[in-house]
Amino acid sequence: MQELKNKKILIVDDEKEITDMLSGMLFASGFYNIYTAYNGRDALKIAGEQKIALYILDVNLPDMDGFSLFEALRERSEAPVIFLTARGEGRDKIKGLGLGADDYIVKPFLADELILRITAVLKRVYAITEVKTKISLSGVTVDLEAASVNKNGKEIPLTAKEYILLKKLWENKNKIVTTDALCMAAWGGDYYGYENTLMVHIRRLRQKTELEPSKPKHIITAKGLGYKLVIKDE
Amino acid sequence: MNNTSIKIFIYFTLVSTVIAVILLFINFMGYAYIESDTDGEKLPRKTLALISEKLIETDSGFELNEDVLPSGYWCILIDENGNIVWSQNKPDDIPESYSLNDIARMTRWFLNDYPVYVRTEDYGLLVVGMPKNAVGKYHMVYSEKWFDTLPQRIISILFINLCFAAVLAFLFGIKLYRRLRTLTNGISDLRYERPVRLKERGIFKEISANINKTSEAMERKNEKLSARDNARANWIAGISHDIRTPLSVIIGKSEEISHSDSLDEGAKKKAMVITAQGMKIKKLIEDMNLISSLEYDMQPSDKKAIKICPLLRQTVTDIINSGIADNCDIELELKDEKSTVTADEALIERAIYNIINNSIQHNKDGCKINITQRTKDKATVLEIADNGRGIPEETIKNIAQMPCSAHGMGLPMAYRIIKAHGGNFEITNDNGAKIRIELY
Repeated sequence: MQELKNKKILIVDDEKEITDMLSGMLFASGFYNIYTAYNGRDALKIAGEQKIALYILDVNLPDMDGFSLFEALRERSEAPVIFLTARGEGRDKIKGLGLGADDYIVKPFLADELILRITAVLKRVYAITEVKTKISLSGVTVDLEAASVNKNGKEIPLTAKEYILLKKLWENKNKIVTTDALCMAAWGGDYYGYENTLMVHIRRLRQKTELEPSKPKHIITAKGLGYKLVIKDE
Repeated sequence: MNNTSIKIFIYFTLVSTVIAVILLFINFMGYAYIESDTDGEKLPRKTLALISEKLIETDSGFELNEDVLPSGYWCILIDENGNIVWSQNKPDDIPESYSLNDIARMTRWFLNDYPVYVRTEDYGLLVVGMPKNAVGKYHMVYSEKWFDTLPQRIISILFINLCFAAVLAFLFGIKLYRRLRTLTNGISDLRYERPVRLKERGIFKEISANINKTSEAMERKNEKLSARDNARANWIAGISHDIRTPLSVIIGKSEEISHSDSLDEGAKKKAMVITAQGMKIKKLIEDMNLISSLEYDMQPSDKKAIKICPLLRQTVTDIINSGIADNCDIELELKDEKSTVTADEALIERAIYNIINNSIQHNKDGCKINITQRTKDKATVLEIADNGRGIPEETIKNIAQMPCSAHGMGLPMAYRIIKAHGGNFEITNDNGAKIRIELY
């Protein structure tokens, strides 16, 4: 985790209030390598001197718009970019993400949300996983990394699809995940018609992870919607 | 070929066939009139009959007791031996006796260039002659077969007429149809307020000119209207943009204060209230922007084909996962998994969210919400019904109006979103609220 906090972050916004506040928020969360710029030219200069790990760009800058700055930055760096903007229209959002930005945050924002999203982007891009890989269900332990289940002292391997489905449910634990999202994760974009196959895979998962597969306690069906992995707080 | 062109084609074919048949009839009558010649054959035949009636055989020969010959006519009577036994006004170049060959040659035709008509009597052959060049004589022979096949040939002539008429109708009809089509296209473009520039020539010159003028007038009007609307929408967008930055600072700072260690709990609580209220303002700005863009742009910007069932599941799941629906029991009944609608996904999701959220917020004690989806003709029909308190009549009546405050904006916004997509939106109270949406 400390590795993440060492990363250099560049904030570009023409409002000094915002840059000050943002660096304050980031500093309070443990990030200390923070650079700020008030226009595109300064931003490019800093980007040339420092090895920036994450850019936070305002869309409205005095000398250029954030999208052009994004493209200029992309020429020298593959570092992730988060757009921070006062423009809330869907079109801008699509344009930002369409260019290949990693996230898009509309002002005003809550500090917690911003930090969460910045951390998420950093984790994703710099592949720092601190995902808990052992899930303990009542009487059964699932080792996601090893893709296996320990039930009654016996090791049962998970198939590739079962692993994907369980991982997806685990990432959204205690929340309903729609059948569409599960199918999309397991079979990709053209998943139509896999609903029945999904049911079969869920049944097998229950047989491996539930003590009483016919009365599941953890992989719960949300009728007409999807499934939910119920895990009580430890 | 569409309906209009078929109609024009049939109309033209019928008209030209009827005209052809009438012309044929008139021409036939005219032909018959021209052909009929009272002087040609009737007079000599009548004269012959008169002579045969008035000619008296006496001992000394034959005698005509009345002068029945018209001027220029002459008459002879030839006996069995081929000799003339009686004559009147006989020109000099008519021979006195005739061989069998002579008789045969002249019977139907001419005798020394005199047109002659003959009549056989018991006592000989009566010959009436007309002056030279008085008539022409033509021989007509028709076979039995000709008479037998006459109806078929008349029918085939009529059929040829019909075909000809059809070809003509096709050629003229296509021309007319093309002109009419540019006109009708122009008018339908007018209806959808698209600019129209028709060529002003031909028989429809005046109509085309009028359509063009109407289009220009409409464009001018629309330009003014949209300029005004754009100004208003841009103003709202600008204002909300300007509010966002200071609001970010307010929220950020108040959050900072609420986390500060040097302050007492009461002050921290107050700072948290400021943060929460700031977020409320943020939501209001977003709603205002959405409403104003729906109001003035009308056309959702990001339309594509979306599958409605996954969207419904996702929206309901999001609502359940967020925990606001803990009191409610939401049930989905999706009949047609494959159905798609052309729409802006985010907007439709917003509309459905608003409707479900409305049911939840107005039935705090909990309710059952039933969502059904099916396909009817080409429309996707969604029904979102609850068994709660229902929707006040006042709200239903004013659904198309924007409320004066942000409170109660959910349903009018949903209504606007559906309408902006060209869909139908109906609210009824039937043991609770029931909202029916049709999308295409």
